[in-house]
Amino acid sequence: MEQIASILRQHVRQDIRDFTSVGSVGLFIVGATFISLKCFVTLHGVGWVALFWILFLFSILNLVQNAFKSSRTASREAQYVYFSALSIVVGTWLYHFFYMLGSGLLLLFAMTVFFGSPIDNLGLFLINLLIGSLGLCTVLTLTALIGSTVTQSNLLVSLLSIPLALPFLLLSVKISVVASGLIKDTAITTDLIQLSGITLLAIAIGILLIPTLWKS
Amino acid sequence: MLRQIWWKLLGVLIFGYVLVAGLLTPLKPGITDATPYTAVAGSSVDVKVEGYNTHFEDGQEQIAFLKNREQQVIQSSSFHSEGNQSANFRFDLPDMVDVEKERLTLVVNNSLDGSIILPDAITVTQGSNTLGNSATWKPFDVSSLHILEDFRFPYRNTLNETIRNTFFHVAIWFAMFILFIVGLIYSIKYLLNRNLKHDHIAAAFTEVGIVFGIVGLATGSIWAKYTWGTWWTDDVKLNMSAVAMLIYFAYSILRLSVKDVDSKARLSSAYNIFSFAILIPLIFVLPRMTDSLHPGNGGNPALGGEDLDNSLRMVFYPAVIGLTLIGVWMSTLVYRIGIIKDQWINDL
Repeated sequence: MEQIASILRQHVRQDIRDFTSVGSVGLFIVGATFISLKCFVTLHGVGWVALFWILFLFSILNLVQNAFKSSRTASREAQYVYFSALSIVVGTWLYHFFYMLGSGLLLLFAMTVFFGSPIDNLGLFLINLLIGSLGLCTVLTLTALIGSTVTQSNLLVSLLSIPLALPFLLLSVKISVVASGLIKDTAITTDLIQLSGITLLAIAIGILLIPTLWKS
Repeated sequence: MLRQIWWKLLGVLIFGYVLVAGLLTPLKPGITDATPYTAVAGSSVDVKVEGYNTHFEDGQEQIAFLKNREQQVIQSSSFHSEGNQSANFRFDLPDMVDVEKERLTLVVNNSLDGSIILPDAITVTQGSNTLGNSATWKPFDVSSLHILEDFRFPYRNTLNETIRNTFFHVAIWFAMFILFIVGLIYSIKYLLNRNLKHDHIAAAFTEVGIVFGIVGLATGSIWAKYTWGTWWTDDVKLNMSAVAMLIYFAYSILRLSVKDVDSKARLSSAYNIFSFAILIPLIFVLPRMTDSLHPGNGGNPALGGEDLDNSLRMVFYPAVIGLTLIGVWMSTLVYRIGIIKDQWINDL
């Protein structure tokens, strides 16, 4: 637990020192939203929700692709000695999760400013964002871990993660559409349960696989 | 020699049987259409029946019934055929006592076709009696009917002859799943004991599974064109199979992009396990919880009830076994190619 917290702290400290990655993701979100504004002019309902999740996916893909890349620097080698593989990965995973929540909220803010918000049920949307980003972050962290040992990893990480991210995205989009009041769905809790279910499954399998993926 | 290849022969033989029996067995006769759809009680109506595989001309003792909800019938009073596929039956409809409106089931019977049933063929509404009391409902005497004893596949409206695709489309998905599960087991085995052989086996089974998946999508697409009218619809099961295929394509690309043999085996095994774990809820759980055009989803029966009757089972289960055996054979070939490639690279 302490190790995980310390990894998390190191990630955050590094981001405060070196603002590049946070800044680039933020700029990507605002820039992409602005470009979409110029292209679509107005956007409602399903289009809004779809654009939200697509931009969300790509903004976090940018972030995650570099996750275990910097693992080859000297400071990280010291990490390998002091911390267990599990805590490094879980720490990074938590860091990704908070990062994704932050970028999701930023994207929500940016899109609300530029397009206006079609969302009626903000609580449902936020819960959906929370669970959805937890699932996406699990998939992306794991594929980044797989990609970290490969030379041409950027392309590979997006290739591996997009099909795996699809089920999470499909469910999240469906729940978001309901949250924006376009469809009335009384069975929305089963959707939420499904989403949490596959998220939990992904987390469990991910934790089981970390030791085998790490030894390199 | 025979001891080693008997299952390959068996697979080919079974698949040959499936091809012959699945494609050559005729369908049971069926009614494609019966007009008019509505009639008035207490009057005569001429029902024009369009059949498929029927023998309205050649069959003896042509007779038709209209059956109501209380299992009572009226017999046709006259009949004349226009070829084997088309016939006219005249019914004298009696008065209706209790109900405003009733849907009657049409039953046609002759010596060659047995009984052909079209449920809810004609809706009868209340009207003034022009026939007197000559026509009355009678209890249905089933023992007098002819029965078709031949081995035939059932006739289903809209499915028609495409019902045979069950043996290929559905069976190939079953076989694909068996191959993927074997691949998964060998991936887990590899991670447990780090024997490169197991990784090769896993890769071989998964690659053949991908081929089966592509064929499954193609046959399904053709089937959809004939029954649903499009090559691809926004059906849960279709989307989920497409995602599953994408995941396995990513698996192949992962294997191609990692050069080091050991890390290739390790990474791809881990990815295989992870993606399979996400695949199960995708294909089995999610579609069952939402509406789908496929049988087995949204209240449609799948492998039970009327969709898979005994004549279909006689071919469907062998089809699964035969395709699986052929798949295993293909996998052993791919596995041997993989081993030889590895040795070749080592020798260089």
